[in-house]
Amino acid sequence: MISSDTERPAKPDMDRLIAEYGSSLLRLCCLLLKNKAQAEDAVQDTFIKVYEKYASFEGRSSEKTWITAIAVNACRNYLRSPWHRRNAGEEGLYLAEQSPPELPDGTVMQAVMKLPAKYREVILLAYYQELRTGEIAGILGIPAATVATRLRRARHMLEGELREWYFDE
Amino acid sequence: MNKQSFRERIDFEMRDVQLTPERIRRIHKLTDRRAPARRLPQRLPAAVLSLALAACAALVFLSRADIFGLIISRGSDENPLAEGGVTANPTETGVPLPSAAPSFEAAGLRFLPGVAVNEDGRLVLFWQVVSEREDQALFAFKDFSVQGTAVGSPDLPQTLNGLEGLTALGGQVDGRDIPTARSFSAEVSVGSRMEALAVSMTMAVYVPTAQPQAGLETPEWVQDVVSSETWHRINNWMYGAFPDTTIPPVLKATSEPTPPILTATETPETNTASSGDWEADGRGNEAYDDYMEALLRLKAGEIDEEKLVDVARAAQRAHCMDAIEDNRLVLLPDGTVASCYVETMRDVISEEDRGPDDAQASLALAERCGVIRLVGEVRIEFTVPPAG
Repeated sequence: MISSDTERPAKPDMDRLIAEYGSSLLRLCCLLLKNKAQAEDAVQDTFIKVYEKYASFEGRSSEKTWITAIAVNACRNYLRSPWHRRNAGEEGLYLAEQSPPELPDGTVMQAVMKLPAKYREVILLAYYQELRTGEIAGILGIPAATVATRLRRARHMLEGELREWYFDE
Repeated sequence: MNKQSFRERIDFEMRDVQLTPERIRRIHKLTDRRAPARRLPQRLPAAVLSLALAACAALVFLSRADIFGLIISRGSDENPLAEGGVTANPTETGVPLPSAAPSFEAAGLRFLPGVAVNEDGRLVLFWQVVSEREDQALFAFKDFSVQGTAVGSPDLPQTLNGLEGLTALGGQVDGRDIPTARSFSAEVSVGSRMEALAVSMTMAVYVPTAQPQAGLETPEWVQDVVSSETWHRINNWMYGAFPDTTIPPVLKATSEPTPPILTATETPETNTASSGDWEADGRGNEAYDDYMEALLRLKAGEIDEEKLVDVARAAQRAHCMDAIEDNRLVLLPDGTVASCYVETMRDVISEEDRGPDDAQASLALAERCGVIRLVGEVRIEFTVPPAG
């Protein structure tokens, strides 16, 4: 189908993308990687890839979903890297360095970071990025049923962690 | 808990987590800080395109001697696709064929394209992929592009790009034979046979990995603090054997109450219900942490090598369970495990709403997870001259 009025930018507006997605992506990556320095690198990798691949983005998913998928893949790359595994024991440094000192135990952030990685992924994509199950399945490359199962388990774990201040309020 | 309150709470708790100005500058620098380009029409108006194509066709016609070798046959009433695909020897179909069709080869797979005109007068681009490999190779087309079509088939690149062309050639899956030399075809609609087609794509060939990369990574320095026997025991575990014989594995025997049932296709909850021990599932990263701690404790003299081996075995088991749940491994009835690459690939390509970008990402993920390994690729480019 020939169309003469279909227009799209050849290159992305990086100012807009950084303003629109920068903070939430950084927080997402922080929670996935539990390391702020790596999270910043992952976000940088994400934006570079968005810039490079923007022309091939066909809009079959939302821009947010597409960028989130790139960010998750970037984080997975870091998680699988030998460097990350060697330094896995230092993950807590992020909490110690970055959390506001007045932040009490039992915060959502801390509860999420206690989740095993696979549950952390789905809970953040579903509740923080507000993606649908099918979109999450596409991003993670797993069946939607597995996403649903992991979500149920993750919610159950979070309920146990957050019951006092969150669910009973 | 709802999504809005969850997000708001996270944003509040992490309000100090922001991209620093320095990081933003770096991102801009790495992306050249080019201003967003002026919006251009994605597709040219039909009239302009037709003119360009006509000019292109004329040029191709005039320089025919330099053309790759494909010649469109005219006046055919045969549709090779309607004949049930392309045979190994296309001339037997009676379809007029290119006189010197090129072929391309990568890692033991041959790609044989051809061109014909069907009953409707539509130009048909078709091809055959023939595997000369003895293993279960997979191939995928990337960056599929056909340029020079006046009417065009807007879905064509999206249909063929990414993993849509992915299939297994040869071998068996779950005891079922996978056909060899499976043929794939595609139609390209053209408004005029006077137009030239420029076809390009990349065919990537993958093979399943014998040992998916879900095992433990042991630092080299450990060699200096453990015996060679222990080093061998903690490093020589392969995915050919499930690392814990205390769990009797049974594959897809859901009617049997015992022993516990572990399958790659069941959901984790089903697995949990079947086996209390399955709670270790999802603990691969934590188990790795335990392993690393055990290595340090061994180095400090706090534990002996037998204890280290026990911890390593537990970590390997947790990783193996993770891999099974993630459909990277399947537990077989004989207690061994094997790669689930085909099942994983089926999941990938069965997503109907998956776009090329997602497909490419999934392909990359499968490769990164060690489910498949790229063994070769070839860039395929050829020009189909106009029929005039």
